This record gives sequence, C-alpha cells and structure tokens, in this order.
Amino acid sequence: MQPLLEVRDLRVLFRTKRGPLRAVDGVTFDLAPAETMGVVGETGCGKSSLGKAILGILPPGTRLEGSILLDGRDLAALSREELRQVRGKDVALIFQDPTTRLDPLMTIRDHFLETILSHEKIARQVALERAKKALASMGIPESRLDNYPHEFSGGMRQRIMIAMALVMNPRLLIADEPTTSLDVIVEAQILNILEDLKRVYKMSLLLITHNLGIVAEVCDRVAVMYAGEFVELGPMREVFKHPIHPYTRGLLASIIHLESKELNSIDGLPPDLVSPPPACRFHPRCAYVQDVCRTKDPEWVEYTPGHFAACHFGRDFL
Amino acid sequence: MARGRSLLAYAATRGLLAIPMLLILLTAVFFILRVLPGDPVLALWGGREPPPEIVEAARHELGLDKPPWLQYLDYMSRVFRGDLGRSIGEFYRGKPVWGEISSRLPATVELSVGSMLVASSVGIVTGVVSGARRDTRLDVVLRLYGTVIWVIPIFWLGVLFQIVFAIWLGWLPPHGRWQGTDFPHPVTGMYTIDSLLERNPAHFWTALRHLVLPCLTLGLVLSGFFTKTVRANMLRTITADYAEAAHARGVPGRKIVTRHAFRNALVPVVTVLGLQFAILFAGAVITEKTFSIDGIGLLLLESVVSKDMTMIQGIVVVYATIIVGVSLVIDILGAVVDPRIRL
Repeated sequence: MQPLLEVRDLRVLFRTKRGPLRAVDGVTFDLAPAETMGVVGETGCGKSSLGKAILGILPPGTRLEGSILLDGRDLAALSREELRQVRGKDVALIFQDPTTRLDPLMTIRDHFLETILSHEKIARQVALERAKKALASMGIPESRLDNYPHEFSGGMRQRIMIAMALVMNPRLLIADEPTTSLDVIVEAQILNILEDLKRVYKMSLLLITHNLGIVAEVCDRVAVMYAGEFVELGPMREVFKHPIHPYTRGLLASIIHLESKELNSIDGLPPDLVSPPPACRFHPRCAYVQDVCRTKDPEWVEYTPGHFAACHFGRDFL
Repeated sequence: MARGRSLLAYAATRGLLAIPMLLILLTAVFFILRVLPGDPVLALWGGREPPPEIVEAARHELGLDKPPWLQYLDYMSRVFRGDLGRSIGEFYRGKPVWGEISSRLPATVELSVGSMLVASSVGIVTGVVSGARRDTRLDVVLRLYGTVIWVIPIFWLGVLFQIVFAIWLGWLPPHGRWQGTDFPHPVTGMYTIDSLLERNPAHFWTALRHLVLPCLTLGLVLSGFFTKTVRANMLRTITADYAEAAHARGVPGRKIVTRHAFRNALVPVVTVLGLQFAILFAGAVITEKTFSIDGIGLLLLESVVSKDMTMIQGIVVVYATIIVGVSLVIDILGAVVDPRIRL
C-alpha cells in the first residue's frame, strides 16, 4: 500500500550559542494509512522535535533538511502559507500538557471556531455544528461550549484538544506524550479514544512517548530513538519479543513488572546533541561496546522483514 | 449565562471591598496631615508672632482645640456628608473647599484621561511591536525609547514641547486651557465635552489644541512603563504553550499575535493600570504647573505653600476617592478580560 507519510533522511538543527544542535539527525521511515507507529526514547532524544518538524512548527532559525512527503507532497518544501493550511487540517498535533495548551482567555467555542475558520470559509453556524459533533464524540456535552479552559479537568481538556484535532478530519495525528500529565484512569480513556481513531476514522497516528506500556497497547509498529537517530524500527510485537539494539534491550529491561526483583536501568546520561559521540552514539553507555563501535557508524540493516536496527552486532543479538 | 452572573458577583464583592478601603484612606489622610510639622494658625500670620488670644480664637474657630478623636469623628462625619470644610489658607480663606476643588476638577480630569489615552496607546503599540519583533533593530530602538522617556522629567519635556511646538513652529498654544472669553456653555466643566455637547466644532478644536501638549508630555513620560511591561509580557505570551498549540492548529501567525499573545499580555498590564493612575495624578500636578492649567494639582501646590490644611486634606480626599473608584473600575475591567479573575 502507498504510504501516507514518507520521511526521508530528516534532520533538525537548532541554533544554539554553542553551535548547531542536532535534535533529529537522519531519520527515515514510512507510515501507512490507518497505521499507528510509536516513537519511544528518553527525554531529549529528539522525539518531540520529530513531531514538530513534520508539522513545521519548529522555532524560528531552526534548520530543516531532508523531505517529509505527505501523500507525495513534500511538506519541507512548502511555503509558510501552504504549510499553515496543512497544519490542523491534514496533520494535527496533540500535546503533552493539555492544561497550558488552551488560551485561558477564550471559550471552547472560540477555540473551535478559530480552528475551523482558519481552514475553511464557512458560516459560523455550520462550523459550530461541526464543533458540537466533535465535542460530543469525545463525550463532552455541547452545553459546555461557552466554558473557559480553567473550568475543565486535565482529562477533559485533553479530550477537548483531541476533539479540536479531529474537527478538520486530518489524515495524520501526531500525539506527543498525550497522557504523560494525566492520571492512570484518564490515561486509559485517552488511549481507548486513540485506538478508536484508527478504527473509526482510519487515521494514521504517530505516537510519541517514553512509556513502553502505551506503545504495547496501541501501536502497530515502534521506532526507538536515541540521540536524534532511530536505532531500531519494527513491528511492535517483534521489537518487544526480539529486540536487537542494546539500547532497546535496556529500555525493555527497565520496565518494572510485578515480579521485578530489582530495578534495571541504563547507566549514564543521554549525550549532548551539540557534540554527540562519534560513530555509534550509544557506545559510551553500551555494555557490549567494541572498538568498531567507537570508529565506524553502524549500518541500518533489515534483520527480519520490516525489522531494522543500527548495531554492528545486530546479528549476534537476533 | 453563568458567565454574566459570576462577573456581576465579582463586581459586587469588589465594590463592597472599596468601602473599607476608602475608610482606611480617609483615616490615613487625617492622621498624616496632623503629625506633619507646621502650625496652620501660625502659618496664617506669615511667620510673625501673633497675640496668644488671637491664636486661641483661631484654634477654636478651626476646631483645633478639641481632642484629636473628636476632631477625627467630626471630620469623618462631615466628609460623608460631602462637606470638606472651609479653606484656612491665605488665598481662599473662608471659601468652601469642595467649591474650589469642584471648579478645578474638570481641568484635571481632562488632562488625566487624555494623558492616559496617550500613555496606553503609545505604550501598548510600541510594546507589542517591540515584543513581536524581538531583537530586531526596531526592538532595540523601542526598548531605548521606553527607558529614556520614563526617566525624562515631566517639566523638562513640557518646556521642550512648548519651545518647539508653540514658540518655534507656532502650531499649538503654549499654555492654558482656552483662548479668549467665548467659553463653551458649562455643563461638565470639561471644555472638550462641553463644546461637543453644544455641537460647536470651533470650540472643540480650541479645547483640543490646548490639551495636546500637556497630554502628550504627561502621556509620553508614562508610556515608557507600558512599553516595557507590554514587551516583557508579549515575549512570554508569544512563546506560550497555547500560542504554539494555535500554531499547530493552523491559525495564521498574525492572528496568534493579535488574538492570543496580545490579549494575554494585556492582563497583567490592566492589573497595574490602577497604580499607574496614582502616578498619573502626581505627574498631573507638575504638568498643570508647567502648562499653567488651573486644575486641582495647581490648587494643591498653592495650598501647600500657604499651609492650607483643610484644602490639602480635601484635595487628598478627592484624589484618594478617585483612585479607589478608578481601581474598582479597572479591577472589573480585568475580570471582563480574564475569566479566571472572577473566581
């Protein structure tokens, strides 16, 4: 099937006083229609920047290289106005902290009208009807349209954010840590909603998270990101059962089970992305490090169909 | 509908709170004036030593021989009946204080409102532009403007404007509120409003021309504060999470600045607007002196010189009442803008 999204050798370089910071450094992947892909990694590995790069909402002065094809159209090459029309309409984004993402001075009604009327020149009444439907699908009664953001709980605000993302019927939804700031019950509700999106709306979902549990629950495929690069990518079950990259193994080992006797963690800290380690970026923290890891970039190898990893010793871990 | 009711409830609570605020202010005015050095009776004699019986008689006449708490009760009960007493200074001796104040109040109100319009419009525009164009050359120039204009003395800027616009260029009158004897029919005492009421454009033009330089002087000096506050708030709101989220929803950049960043940046500015009015009144005293505007600022200066205690007291009471009223209005305005304040 023709993929909906084709990301090719994507690089995001932030301008900092110490030189360019490579938040995303050569990421390549496809996303099929109605597919859910998870992107997991530690804080600061560049996963949020990846999401923002696709949407084109990186801070001014940031350099973007590579291509982002949405239905064959390169988002990275669009003009500002063309890209604005894509944002919120073809690609929508929901954020980590819903409590700060709604304008405190505007009612929910005005938020919806603003979103819809930014993309379509239709009568306010028509737009409002659509807003009501989207809200209702998230279980929020239309009587609350005139409420302000502070009058909702965190979970409700996230459902409002999702409703607002869905109101234009986008083909791709990027969810950046959508449940991290919510409690477990609400988290379960939001995850159910995200699963429904796939079934009901046939929407592709890029789920950015550090929570492997969520990936296991929702995703078809998963990409593991480390220091701006993908180190492993494959079908969710495959990656969880047969992880190849030592970093993926470390992540999976750090999950706490009821039977866990001790806490496993990966020693060391994520590298500085202004001057990342040479060759394999994971080598300073890798338990299996060899000389070749310090001198030669590992290749992106497809070990089993659809299961890629970047490790010199991938075969040995199979 | 819940929206309207909570706003009304907030306004009512806020209004009730203004009453103790006013009581405390009136009390403070009374006691501060009485612990200040200088005897008003002696001041009447211009430094000469008056005969003791005359001093006694004057004290009795002014009620100064009564115990302080009785004086206080007298004063409070009279203030609430709208009686601010009679002047004891050499210029307005025996005249009712409120009469003198009320005849000059319109001039001060006109100057203050005009200056506040100049200050807020200039300050908000420069602040928004400066914040939205961060670190550009324009931003640097506007930041410099904000600092420099804020530290310029009012009388200096006033005199500069008089020299340039009134004397060199001859565009505007250098001082006063009116030219000639053909005054507009007095209704409010404010010449701009009165001339509008009688639908006389020539009169309105005269009144407006006299207001331009004083309002520009006081307004520009005060605008520096707005420039800096609005800029600082814009920097915060333009990168706020909700602004980024609006960006992600495909809202055009211009609307993010005007609708999200600007409105949110104004909330803290509205909160300090009340304090700005207090500073404005202090500045108005100097402006009225510089431009020979016969307002209560000028009256206050005269009264201080002649140690006219009842007049000073009356003026301060009027100032305090206006400030309490203005901050009440501004707080309600803040609640209209920001729904979270109504809680």
